Amino acid sequence: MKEIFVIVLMAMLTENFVLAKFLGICPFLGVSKKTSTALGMSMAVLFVMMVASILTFLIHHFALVPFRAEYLQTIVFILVIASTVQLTEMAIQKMSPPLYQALGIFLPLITTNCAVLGLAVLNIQNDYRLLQVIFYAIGASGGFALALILFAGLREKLELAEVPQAFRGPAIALVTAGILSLAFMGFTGLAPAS
Amino acid sequence: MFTNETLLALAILGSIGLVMSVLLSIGKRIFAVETDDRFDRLMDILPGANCGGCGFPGCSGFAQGLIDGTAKPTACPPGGPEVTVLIGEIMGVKLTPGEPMVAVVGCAGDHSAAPPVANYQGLRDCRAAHAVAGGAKSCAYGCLGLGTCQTACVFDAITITDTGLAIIDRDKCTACGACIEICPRQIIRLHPKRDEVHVLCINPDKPKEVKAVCTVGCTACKLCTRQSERLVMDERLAVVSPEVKADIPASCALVCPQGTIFDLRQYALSDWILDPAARRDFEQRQEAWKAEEKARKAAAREKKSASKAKPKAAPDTNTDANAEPGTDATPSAGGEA
Amino acid sequence: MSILTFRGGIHPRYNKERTAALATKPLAAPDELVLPLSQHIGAPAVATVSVGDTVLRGQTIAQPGGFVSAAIHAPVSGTVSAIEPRPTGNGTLGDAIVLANDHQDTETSYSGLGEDWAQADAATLRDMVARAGIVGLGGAAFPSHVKLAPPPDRTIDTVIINGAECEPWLTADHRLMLESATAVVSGLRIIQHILGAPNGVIGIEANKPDALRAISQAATGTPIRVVSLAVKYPQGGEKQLISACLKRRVPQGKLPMDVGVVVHNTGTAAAIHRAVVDGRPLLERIVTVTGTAVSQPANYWVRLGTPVAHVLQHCQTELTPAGKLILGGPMMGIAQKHADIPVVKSTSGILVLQPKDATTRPASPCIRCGRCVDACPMFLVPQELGAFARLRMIPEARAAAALDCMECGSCAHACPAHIPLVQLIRLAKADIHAAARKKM
Repeated sequence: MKEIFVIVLMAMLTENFVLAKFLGICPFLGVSKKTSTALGMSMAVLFVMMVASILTFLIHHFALVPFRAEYLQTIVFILVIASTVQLTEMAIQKMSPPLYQALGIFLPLITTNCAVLGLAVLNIQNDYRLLQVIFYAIGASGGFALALILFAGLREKLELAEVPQAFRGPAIALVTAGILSLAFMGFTGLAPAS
Repeated sequence: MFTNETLLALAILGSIGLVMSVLLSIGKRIFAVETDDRFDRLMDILPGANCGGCGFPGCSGFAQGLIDGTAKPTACPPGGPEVTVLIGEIMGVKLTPGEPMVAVVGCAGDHSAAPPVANYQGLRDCRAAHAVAGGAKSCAYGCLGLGTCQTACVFDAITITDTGLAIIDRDKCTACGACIEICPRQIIRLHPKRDEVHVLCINPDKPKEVKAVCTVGCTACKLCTRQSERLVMDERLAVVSPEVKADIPASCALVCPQGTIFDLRQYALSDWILDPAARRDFEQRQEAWKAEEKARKAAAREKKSASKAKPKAAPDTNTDANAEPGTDATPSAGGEA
Repeated sequence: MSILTFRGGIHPRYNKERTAALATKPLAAPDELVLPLSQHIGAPAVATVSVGDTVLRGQTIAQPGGFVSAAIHAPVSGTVSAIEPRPTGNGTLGDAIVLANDHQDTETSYSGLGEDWAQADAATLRDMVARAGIVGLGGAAFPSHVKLAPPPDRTIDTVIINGAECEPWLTADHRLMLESATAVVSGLRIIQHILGAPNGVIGIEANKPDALRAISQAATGTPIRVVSLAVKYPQGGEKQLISACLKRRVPQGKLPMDVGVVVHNTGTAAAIHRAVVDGRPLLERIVTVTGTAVSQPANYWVRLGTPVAHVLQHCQTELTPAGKLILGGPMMGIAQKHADIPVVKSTSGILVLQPKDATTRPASPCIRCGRCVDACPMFLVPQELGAFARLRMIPEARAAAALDCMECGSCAHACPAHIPLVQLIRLAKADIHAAARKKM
């Protein structure tokens, strides 16, 4: 139980996928203009991460390891993630067309999102059991959501500021992301002494 | 060639791929969505400026409006006639494009012509300045030159001169209407792009009052209205009539004593406003034309007195007299350039 | 008496000591008076005289142009020399009746109800107020008879008289309370009678102890409560008065009558007294003429329609092109381009400042210090509203309650970056109204 708690906490705060591991920067910068789209994107990523991590875990342990074909890991994982994202895209287009419009190109880009592949690979690297995989996915997507929504809130305020000409647009956004990342470093003290 | 490992790899990939494709095709059936591909085709041909000139929120709003039937296909000013025709093709209707329009600032009174009577300190915004006792300009109708229209224009078509006047570049202007809406004095108006002559004044006050506040304002002398039927008087202000179809000769601009009428066949707008050499050249041409008119009138008077001295009207003489109606003191409508 | 206050507000330098002790003097009437037909909120009045007519002082020369409108009377006897557009204090040309003064001051006859006004019913009294052309003399110029006729479903239990005069430099209301205390108290009682309101309160800022004493004395024997208010701008705002005197909060977008209160200015109360008791219409008002460029500041009884230039002549002012001429106070008054404008019903003061007091510093970027938020008496976030205005984010501005702003100027005064917040918020309000009209 404590282990699960540590995994989730670690994934969300101390080793936040976006702000500490610097994975998934593309949607982080691309979808964080408004908090409402950020929330929608986070939900999509949560779903993809859950499905993809469980599927990849199962495939790795029951299809790759028995045939000693672990070297196929990367390509097979990408295949699974791509299909999952396609399914998610179809589902969102059906269930919430405005969200589909708002996310635009960034929805299919979850496929190449290194955060999802990174999660799948980390699950294997850390040798997690299925339960741990599930909670690691929850923690990772929760951390992604946290970073994305926080940043979206900051960017909404940045819109109102009179930024110097040289910093307008992506420049000030990246500087802010860096400062947010520094802030999350403050959570390092929460890591268990192991 | 095909070792065991290669075959194994292919088998694993192939089977996973097969499973996934089956899942996806099932998913496609469950999550089938009716999309109107017209939306994407419309988005392709629309200018993408999101200027709001159509009255809808951005180009996507306009495209949706076209599909819903709430938008008029001719409503996109930046797109112009070409886009209107393309919209018609996509929507399956035949459309005749509207007349291209362009926005013109109806004022030539910069700081030198219409000087400020007070010092305005505050937000550099024409609406804000106008709200403080009507702004610091001597003329209550003229351009305040603080650049609110320039900020509103998404096509970068408006420049504010150093002397405090807004000028619109007719090649960049798409007649989206943003500047017209935001100008607190409604100085900017839409004119057909093919119109080459404009009256740069909207001050309707009495001639003495106009002269007191501006050196280039319209003083309702009506001289221009005699040069062309298209120039009519709207109470105490000369305007180019949109309904009347007639030519406007170059003499209209030349005859105006205040220099209010701008003829783009003779000068470029920025030169007209900013370049003192252009104004000097205009004054010279004005003098030259006046001299010519004087000479022509003198010649006409002589001919008339000569024809009066002759005995009772022979058909030729009468026709002659009729052919030259310049017997009254005002210049004739057929004045040459 | 405990001191009452409201949320927010600022403490500008008041400079009232220059004129607070000066008794009000009558100002000699000019040769020409200009009476704009629109010197109040609502429809312009309609002239009932024509060019060439002779008029008597006190005669009605224009009728209200609708329910929300006010009558206009001749402050002098003479002839109507013109009815034409003339420059007014808000920068536009407005139709005005121009009177040539014959300096005879021949008055028309007046008929008031005397001290027995309590016998008359509310409708008669309201009608007398309307016929006297009385509007809110605190600067808003809202026709008073309309304020005295709330919709039948609104019960008014309290009437508050605004004796705060929070605007710096001005002492017109202060002098009125000292010199006509009985008229003010009587006016309040008349208003209470018309509205059927059992409670009456007169709120006076604590920096006017002599006025507090004078009004308290005039109010002895009546149930009227005289309260001392904290010296803070804008204590004289309606909602701020209600909050301070009664601890009631008027909800966003609502009016004082929605919480059972009606607020009137002291000058209005005194004018109502004169209209009902003596039958005299509104012909003149107290104007404080002061400022750093005025060497002989004074409080004057000025006839309506007197050109500001005429008033300034009597006060040894030095109006230079680089100086500032303000009609009203420095917070909510309007700067003028020239002095050829008339004194109207809402002119409580004429302020002339030297060039060194007239310059403003250029604005620098906002650093979110929050002083504007502390200062705002309407619970708004002026920084946010200013940003929305600058970026023309209309729906966000409406959602942030930009329309609640009463343009008091506290935020702009408090801003260390000298950002012209009031101008920005005014633009936002104009955009919101334009967007609402477009939707219709």
